Amino acid sequence: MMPPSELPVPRFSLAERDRRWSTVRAKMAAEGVDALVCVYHTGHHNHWQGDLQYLSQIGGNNVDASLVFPLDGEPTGFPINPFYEGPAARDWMSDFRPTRRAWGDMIGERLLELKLERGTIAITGLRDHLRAPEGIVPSGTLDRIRELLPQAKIVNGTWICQEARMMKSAEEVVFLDKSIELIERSVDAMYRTARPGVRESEVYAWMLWEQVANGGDMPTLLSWLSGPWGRVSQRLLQATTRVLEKDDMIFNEIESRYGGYCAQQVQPMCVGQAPKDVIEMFNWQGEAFEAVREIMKPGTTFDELLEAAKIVGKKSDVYESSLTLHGRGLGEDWPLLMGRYSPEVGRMQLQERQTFIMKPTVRKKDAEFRGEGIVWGDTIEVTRAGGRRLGRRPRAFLQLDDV
Amino acid sequence: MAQLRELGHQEYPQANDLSYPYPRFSLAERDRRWSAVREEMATAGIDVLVGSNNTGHWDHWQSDIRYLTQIGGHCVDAAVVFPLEGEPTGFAINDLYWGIAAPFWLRELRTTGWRWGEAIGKRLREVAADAGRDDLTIGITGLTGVLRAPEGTVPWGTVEKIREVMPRARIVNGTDVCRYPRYIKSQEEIEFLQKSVDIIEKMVAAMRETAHPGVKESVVYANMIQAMIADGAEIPTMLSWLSGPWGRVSRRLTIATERVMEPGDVIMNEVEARYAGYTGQQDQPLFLGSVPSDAQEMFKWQMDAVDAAMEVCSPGHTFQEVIDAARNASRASEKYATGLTMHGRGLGDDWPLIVAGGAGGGTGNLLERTVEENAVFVVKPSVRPRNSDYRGDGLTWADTVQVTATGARRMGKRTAGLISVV
Repeated sequence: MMPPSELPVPRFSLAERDRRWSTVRAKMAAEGVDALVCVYHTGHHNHWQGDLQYLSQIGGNNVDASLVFPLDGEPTGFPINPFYEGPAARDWMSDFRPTRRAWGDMIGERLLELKLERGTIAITGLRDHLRAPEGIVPSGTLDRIRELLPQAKIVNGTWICQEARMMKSAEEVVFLDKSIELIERSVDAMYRTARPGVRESEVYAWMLWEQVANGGDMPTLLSWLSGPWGRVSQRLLQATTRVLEKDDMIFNEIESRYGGYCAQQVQPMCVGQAPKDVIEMFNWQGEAFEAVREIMKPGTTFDELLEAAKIVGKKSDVYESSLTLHGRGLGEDWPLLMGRYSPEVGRMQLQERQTFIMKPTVRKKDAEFRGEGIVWGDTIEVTRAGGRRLGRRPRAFLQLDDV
Repeated sequence: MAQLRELGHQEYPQANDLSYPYPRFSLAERDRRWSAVREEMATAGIDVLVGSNNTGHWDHWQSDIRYLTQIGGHCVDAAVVFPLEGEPTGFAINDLYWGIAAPFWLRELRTTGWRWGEAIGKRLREVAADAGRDDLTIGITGLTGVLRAPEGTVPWGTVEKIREVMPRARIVNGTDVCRYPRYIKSQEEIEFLQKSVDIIEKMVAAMRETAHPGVKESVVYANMIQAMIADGAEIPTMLSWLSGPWGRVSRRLTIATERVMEPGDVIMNEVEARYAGYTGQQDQPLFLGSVPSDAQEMFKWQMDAVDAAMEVCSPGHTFQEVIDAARNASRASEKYATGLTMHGRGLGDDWPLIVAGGAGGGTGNLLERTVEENAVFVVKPSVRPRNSDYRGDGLTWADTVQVTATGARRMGKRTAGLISVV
């Protein structure tokens, strides 16, 4: 068999492993946790296995896996079959045990081996997960762990890795930069292929081609709204085979996964010339974007970001603006700011090396539908000088002169 | 219960006249499914079937929900409350997510804001009120015994919420309720599967056109995915990949790397395409250069196993007979052994799962049903040296087959064979 070291896949260094493990273990120690358990769940574009990939490098395109990560001792990875853990994981770990999908049994046995019969076991994703407040841990797996360790104290471990994952290392930022490079290839592909008479699915397919051909992983989020301005479709998670017409709009959220790391951009396009009011809204949106970006520095609160994004509504009688912002990284990185959020989150301060997708929306004050708004967004790293755009393309509303 | 929707009503009136070409099933198909599932529920004494979100494993683990509602595709989280009598309810996180097809089937669609157990619980209380009793038997699909997830797929927190809201209800495993209705495909389902197989063959053609020495494997893989999406299939889809010099093939990956291919390399794979969720499969080895003599010999034994398995893959035979046929095909070989992998194809992990000649996780009793007309499987006996248990040392060619009254019908149209790119 070809050794995994020969396979050219994205890999993190041992120093990065040690940094993560020690940060997470410090948090575990502070919480009195003896072992952290990550349970398989490749749902939601694989985002819900983010903690597992963070600690083990196991992952990629629906690779179901679990992990026991003790406070002391060797972590153990649980792929379904021998060698299903992916090529990078063996750079970091040596203990892999195939489960044949009996996850709870295998996790429980390892916890017993660690003599944690009466230990405190934190399970990540038990509840309060981003976009999954009821949790993501399969009921039967939890039942089996409880059966095998009836005297152990099982606690929610969702927050243990989240805090560490919010602050990106230099290596993580490099992976996010690579993700952005793939996204910008996707944008180029959209601009190159979206023409009247072309099926939307073909445009979508070429956008993903760029990512996969150049080392991106799957599945990845690439959402899609399209159609004539004023009659844009509902948001879909994949383009249909509808044929594009002149002056159609394409709105999107474009992510790519590189070694699991996802940045995001939002890049609107008109298959022709955009109407005057669209360009007017786009210009307003730029003002909101810059107002937020400028203050994305350590010490600024999330409330202040949300307030800054409202700038358009304060200056215009016709339009208003609001902010959607959430962490980017291995998946659902904390926090998620859209609609409701708790006052505590609003008062939290940004810190250096946090990365977010920042995407203010501008819409008419009487608009009802998402497709009536204009969004442009990029992934931003928090620096002392303000937000650094990871994207390299100039901000623009893409249009075509030649149709 | 809120006022029921008009069938076909979309949330976004501006979007209605765009006539998105989104594949969907007929109302007759809906009624067929709903009545088959309700029969199973009645037999099992289940008052209401519940499915909650899990888009893991290439969306396969949400397939019962999609089967009953048409909600799903590309990691769209969804849930369903499906009472024995009365109006089923489909759930999505918000009204952007239940998609274009579901409103043509369901008159009740609700949003959860990610709080699935709460939303499901609220609807269950309405069902209980309608029934005049709150000691309902609630079957939760995915509680345990899911194919490839024998410990289940339903989040614990969601189950707990349902228990909290319905404390007098009896919660039982409902995984088996849709299992057998889904096992036998309707004509409409077979048409969707045929479309999936047709797209798979375009993917194989894309692989053949682009796999050459000096090309990155990821480029070949990307071309296959491009062909699939452009033709209307959806992601995520399973396209597994083993590659490298023959005799030194890599581990199984679920996406190709940027490794540059060399003469003498082989690509082995499992190629799926999802068309409105329906997934066929083919396995198609490709050699860069002429096929080595030992691979040719192995392929001969493997095709004997395919033929033998297909021979008995007809109504009335047991799955054990299919397993035995594939295994016995190589009895005369001292060097090579054949063994059967075979599983249902359809909306995801359709019953049964046979791996290494036995029932795979979550399958239960393999002899509970025989091979039946209009069941659809991928039949993929593998062959490998008797002294090896490494998958990469073996060889598999496979196609999706429909069981007809007269025997197994290959759904693929390509000639069976190893591809050699010289």
